[in-house]
Amino acid sequence: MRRFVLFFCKRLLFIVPQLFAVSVIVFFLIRLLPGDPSYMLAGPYASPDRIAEVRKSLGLDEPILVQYIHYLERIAVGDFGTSWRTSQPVLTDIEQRLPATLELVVGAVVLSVVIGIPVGVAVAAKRGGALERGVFFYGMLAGSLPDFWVGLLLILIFFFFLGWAPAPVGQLGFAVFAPDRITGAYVVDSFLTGDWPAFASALGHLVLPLATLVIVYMPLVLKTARSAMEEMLDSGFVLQARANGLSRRMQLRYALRNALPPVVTVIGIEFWFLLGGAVLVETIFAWGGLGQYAVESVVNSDYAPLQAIVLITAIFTSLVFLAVDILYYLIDPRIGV
Amino acid sequence: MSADAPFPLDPRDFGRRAFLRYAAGSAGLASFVASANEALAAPDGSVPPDKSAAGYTLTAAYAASPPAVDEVAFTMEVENMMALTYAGDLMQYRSIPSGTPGIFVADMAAPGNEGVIGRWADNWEGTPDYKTWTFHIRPGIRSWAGNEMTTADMVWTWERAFEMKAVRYFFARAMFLKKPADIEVIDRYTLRFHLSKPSPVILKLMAMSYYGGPFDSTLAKQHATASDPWAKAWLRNHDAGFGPYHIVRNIPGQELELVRNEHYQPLAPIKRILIRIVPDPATRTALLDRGAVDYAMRLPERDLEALSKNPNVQIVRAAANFIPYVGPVETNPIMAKTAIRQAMAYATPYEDIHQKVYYGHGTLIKSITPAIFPNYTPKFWAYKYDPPTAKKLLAEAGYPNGFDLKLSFDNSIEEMSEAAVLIKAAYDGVGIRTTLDPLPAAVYSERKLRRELMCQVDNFQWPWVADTGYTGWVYLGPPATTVNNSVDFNNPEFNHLVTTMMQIPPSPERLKMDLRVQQIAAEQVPWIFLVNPGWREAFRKGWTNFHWYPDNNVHFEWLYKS
Repeated sequence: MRRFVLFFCKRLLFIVPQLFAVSVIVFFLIRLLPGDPSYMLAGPYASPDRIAEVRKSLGLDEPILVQYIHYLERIAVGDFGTSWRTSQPVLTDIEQRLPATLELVVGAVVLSVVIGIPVGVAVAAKRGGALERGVFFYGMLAGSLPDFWVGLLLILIFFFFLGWAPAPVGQLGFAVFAPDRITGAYVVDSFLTGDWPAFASALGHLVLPLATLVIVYMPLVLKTARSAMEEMLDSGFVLQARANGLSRRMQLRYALRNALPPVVTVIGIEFWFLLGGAVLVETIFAWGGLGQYAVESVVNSDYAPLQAIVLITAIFTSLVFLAVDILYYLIDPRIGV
Repeated sequence: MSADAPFPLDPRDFGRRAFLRYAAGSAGLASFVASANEALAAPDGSVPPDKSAAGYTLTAAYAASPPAVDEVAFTMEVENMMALTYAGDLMQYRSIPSGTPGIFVADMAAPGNEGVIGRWADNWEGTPDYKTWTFHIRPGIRSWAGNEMTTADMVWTWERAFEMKAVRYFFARAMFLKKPADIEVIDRYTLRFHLSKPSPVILKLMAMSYYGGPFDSTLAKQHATASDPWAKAWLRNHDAGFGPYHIVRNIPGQELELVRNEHYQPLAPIKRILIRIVPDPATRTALLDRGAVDYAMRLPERDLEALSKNPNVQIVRAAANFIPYVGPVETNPIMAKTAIRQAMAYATPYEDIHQKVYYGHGTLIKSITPAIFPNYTPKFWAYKYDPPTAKKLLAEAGYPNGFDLKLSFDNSIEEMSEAAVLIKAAYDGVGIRTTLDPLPAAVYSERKLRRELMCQVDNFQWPWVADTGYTGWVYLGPPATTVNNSVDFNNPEFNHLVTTMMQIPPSPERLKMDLRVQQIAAEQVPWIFLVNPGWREAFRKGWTNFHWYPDNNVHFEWLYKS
């Protein structure tokens, strides 16, 4: 336990220089990107003086090192700047969007685990059946399909042709007001506040984008669970267990526990990837999430949100992999940390 | 000049001449016939009283949120919101029937100021020298907050404009208003503009300046602070307008809600507008197709073509003022040669673009002056797709083996991408070895305005003021003072003509200048004109009484269900 606490504290401390390095890299790299938002912001009727004023208001007229110092001074007090595209503080934008993304990502990861691991274990436990063949084809297909295409296909079938799914207009239907904010995630907040019309609308709107992510990304968890489980089931200690007359259930239980570490790693990777990688799904379903915000910031040379998003993503990434390490320790304390 | 009838519009105001002129123009532009809007609208485009009481809710899918609701940003969504919340300045263009049932258009073709009537002004007068203009504000105009419009609001608006130095300030320069002190307040409702030079287009400028007010200054000042006396912070995300709508909810990137200004007359039939931000055009198309929304904004022609097959969808079309073009940028020594630009004009596949990008809708552009403007003439535009002539001109210009061309465009505009591909294929055929250069919007804007591109395909030009002099001045005027002149066209005679036209009253001499400007633009080819697709918007069937205005926004305040 003492070893674990030491490890945990060291990892937490290491996050600080990690984030500092990320802030340096992202700040300077972003300024290497082409595009000066002053022109777009000022508009085609602007005079050269007006464009210069806009540049000044964005702080872009200062030397780059001075800009960086001002940037550090501001983020030290929690000021991540203002997005010129929304005219809101970046932190406000992120507060509005991050829960939307987390709702999708957490939901996709949870479903991937809840479905992927049992199916992977089932396939590993009973090889050669119809389930294995089905999983094989599904894994191959899903691995080659882009998520935005799957999303569009689901919209076409379930919204356009069948009319079963609600219109992909974001997290809620028209004329359904957002629930009182607790977490910012509409499904959670509407449930907690007992706002059942909003809950029904939010849940209904979540189905297709969630299904899209699960269909495309669950195979990662499923295949890892399956191959790790197969390896464990073929290993010597499970053979020993079988020879000693342990029940199949006990054998699977022992095998599963030893198969989990790589699965946990893959879950962590999936979570990290989806945090930024769900942008196309967010765009197609008009989800208004963080990924969409990030891409629009890049396209429109909106520096402040870009810097903040990268930092926040780095924080989340560090926390996700810290959680993965903790889970490793809990699953198998022998694993060296 | 006497007042025209205030709201609602008097059918007798629709002069037969104006109607015939526009209808003749529309007949000549046959491909602008709007599709499938057979719903009945009042013949004069007004809003019937029973429809005002209807209180509809309209749902819409927009491509993006407006970055602001103030003149600190300039995107189509900002324009749209400003038009809905501020509506415009003292004047407006008269609406006349387009020739298609249910669709009315601004009377841009009327000569002089005949097509302009009062919006907030019920009376106006200009001195014979066009330098002093007096406007009387109609009493009883109220903002959504209930405050009455007075000269104090107008003065505060113009003072703010001079401080902001943005779009309204541009209009001030265009009308030769040098400083706010040149606006004289006569009484609570009357103000007088003293211009430093004659402005023949001031009424048309006043008909368009909805950018940056006019503000309800009483409301705006409540949100002003010592460090922010012009309430810039508050007005970025809130409106203080006298227009037909008011923003009540704005979650950037997600949704907007507008409710009607209950004081605005005539009362808008649509009481509530619910907007969701749906970035993907395919999704917006699906939403409209399936009936999930009433209106989908900014759909490319390909999607409109698909939607037109749905009997429950109408594609509303009207002739408009768009000028998509290929712009050789004359900071490049090859592009600076007139013969090269002319060669490119002969190498451009106009009909291909017309058919394949716009599916035959719209018309080929043949002048710097849109066809719906006064004094338009196509006679100087000699160019058609003629590769042998193009090659001949290239050889005469010293490039018998062609040259390398980089063709840049905003990659977020699908039609520009498609046009660029066709242009590349055609140019390659005559030896202009073309490389396509798709750029993100912000990068494209910056490089375009800095004149760093070699050649661009662009569609973000639509002159609001129905005047050749204004159009030439705004887009191709002296590059030292005209940021919009992104192609660095610098022809002394052209510069002199457009500058002079902005400050001499209508006259036979001005008409000659008008034609000469069009001739120079055709002969020197600063822009290779492409296809004017016209105004096109996709709505569910049942909505009627569409009013086209030169800002090319949908003006929801007129719409109702038949």
